[in-house]
Amino acid sequence: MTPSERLGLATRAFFLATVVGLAAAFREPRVFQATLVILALGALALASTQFTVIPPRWVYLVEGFLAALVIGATLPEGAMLLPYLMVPALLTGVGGKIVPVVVVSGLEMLALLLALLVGGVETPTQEGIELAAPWAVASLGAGLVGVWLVQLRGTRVAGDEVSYESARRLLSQLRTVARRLSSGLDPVSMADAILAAVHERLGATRAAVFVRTEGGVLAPLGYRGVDAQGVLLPEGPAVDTCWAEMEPVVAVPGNGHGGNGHGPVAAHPHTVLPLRNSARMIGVVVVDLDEPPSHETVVRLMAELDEQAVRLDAALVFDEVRSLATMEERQRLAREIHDGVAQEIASLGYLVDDLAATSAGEEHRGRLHSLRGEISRVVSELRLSIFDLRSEISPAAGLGSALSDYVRAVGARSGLTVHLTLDEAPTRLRGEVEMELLRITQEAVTNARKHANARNLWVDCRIQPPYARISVEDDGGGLGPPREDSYGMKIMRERAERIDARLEIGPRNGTHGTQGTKVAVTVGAEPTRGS
Amino acid sequence: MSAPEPLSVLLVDDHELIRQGLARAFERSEGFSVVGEAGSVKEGIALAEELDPAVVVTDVRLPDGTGLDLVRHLRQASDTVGIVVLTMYAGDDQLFGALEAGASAFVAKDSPSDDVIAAARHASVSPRSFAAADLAGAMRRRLSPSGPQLSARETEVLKLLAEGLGVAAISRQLFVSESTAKTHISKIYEKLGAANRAQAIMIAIRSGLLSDEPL
Repeated sequence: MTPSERLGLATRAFFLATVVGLAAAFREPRVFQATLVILALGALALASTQFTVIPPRWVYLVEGFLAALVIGATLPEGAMLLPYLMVPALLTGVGGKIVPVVVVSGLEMLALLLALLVGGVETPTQEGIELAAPWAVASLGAGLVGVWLVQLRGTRVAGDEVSYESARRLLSQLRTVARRLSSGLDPVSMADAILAAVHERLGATRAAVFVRTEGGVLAPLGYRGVDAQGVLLPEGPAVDTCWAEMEPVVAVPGNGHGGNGHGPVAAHPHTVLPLRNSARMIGVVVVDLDEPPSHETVVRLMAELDEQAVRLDAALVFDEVRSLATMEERQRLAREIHDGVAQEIASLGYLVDDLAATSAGEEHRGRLHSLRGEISRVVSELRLSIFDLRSEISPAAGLGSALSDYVRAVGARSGLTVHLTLDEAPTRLRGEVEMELLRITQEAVTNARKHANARNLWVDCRIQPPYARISVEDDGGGLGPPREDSYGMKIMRERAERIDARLEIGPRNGTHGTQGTKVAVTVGAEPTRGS
Repeated sequence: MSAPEPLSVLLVDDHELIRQGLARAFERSEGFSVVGEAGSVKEGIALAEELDPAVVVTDVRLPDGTGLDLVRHLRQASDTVGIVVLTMYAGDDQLFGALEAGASAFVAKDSPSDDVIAAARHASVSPRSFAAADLAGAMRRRLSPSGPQLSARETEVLKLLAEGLGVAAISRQLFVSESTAKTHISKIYEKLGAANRAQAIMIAIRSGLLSDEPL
């Protein structure tokens, strides 16, 4: 029950209770009958506002008119019923507009006059008007007070208290979410909920949720149904129309969107539903249906989707903010290392060079040379750390090329032979997921480079959004038992958790013995293949 | 020593310890004399104009801009000044940035000071050439398959395109929808920077993604 419905019930109940009591006390049969009629009228009006789609404004209008007719006919004995006229006017006033209030009160006055002129047999019209006029005016007043109350509250909503309150609520939610990371505002599980709703309402055979990413590309967030990944794409005239008009586009079977309808697969009728947050599109749901849904089904589903879309939008914005903040922090950290400790150690290196050059003893010089070697190693580690911290994924290129650039650059610098395979679908992963996958790969490569004493590095990427699997294998010494809980492993685990990815770390099943380590990260469900 | 006049060196780096270390290294080696030290792009430009050094050694990250701006400025003013870019940053794009700005040599800050001296010597002798460690590797990385990288599926589609198949035929052959095939094709064009099929095939052959033998 909404607040205005509660108000409707309360005011009617109050007035009728008073009036019934009075009517019973005066034992006036006509007034008692009229009271019963008004009681029925009130109940009917209450039911209409709550259970039908008739706008409440019209309900109050009719209620006021009929109540005034009934009461007018019972005057002068029914004068105690006159206060009831304030109920429809007040309820109309709570709607927030003055004109409807004036209309309702005007109609009530008209009805009273009509009843007095036509039906008021025993009542001299003059006396009736004298009785009714104050209450008719009071009803207008009650309506205006209703309007004023709403406006008063409205200004307070726009004012500080409420906005502070909502900001506080948002922030505390943010804090909770930031603590538990992906659990509270997780776009992927929200997409799953949307897919479940679409499946349930429309009986969709396949469905996919796509959301707009920073570069304007539509990235898949979730798929449902056999081979959905291969069939449902965020493109075609239906998607364009849906995006432009922000309304669902229901496809007719046989009139397939996309392609010229020659191929056996091209005639799939895709229905496209918008995911919108007020006047903004945040994504689309592409649906594959056996038969077109009824209009009512779509309307009901859209009501549900609109609600989900708001939540999804919040989750996506939160993700974006988080990754922006992280990125900024990483850049800052890179600058700090670059300008601080890295330069200091590098200058120590020059100092050692100087000492070695001016040193007389052969043995002493040898020691200084090996010290210089160590310093150079530390500085080049720092250089690579700065490189890691600064590396980003360009909106145009995507994870695949960022990964291959990184792996090749690092491989070249550390003398590793890199074997890279890359299978990347045309669609993109979400920016946050791409970022975390790149970071996990960086960490895995760093581990192989630093600790494993490896010569070869195999990096295998399969990116089929929202599914992706990246494995990094080396032929180095492998993990000793204590390394399982190393800092690097912990960071990878945390990153994987953040995007709900699965991380496997273990010995590599190499063909030349079982030396080496394998780190694999998987996000999303592996696409099912129908054909 | 009856050596010819020493080569004048200007050091540009905002870290004093680095400048000191380098200055010591230059003073130690024969044939150089550090005539000035600057901590910013602006100072560097002013001192270079005033001192007309034979070699400028500059950091990339400076408080008021990038050392590459300084390099560009110096190179525009003079064809004969030797310019050594010294950086903490890793990554091939740094190296190519220095090359494009007109530097004569590129040295990382993890290299011993002897490398900086050697680079300065090279820069003074042939300022319009370019020397860097692993330059060949960086060139290879830039030219070789890393350029356009096609996925396994895209390579398949590219081969079929080269065979002269149409979209419908490709989609049938690969058991995908026509729109999927179209997406692959447009992605291939995008990656290769091609406007049409003929161009895509030409670029693919040139960059070694397709062999030019008759299929």
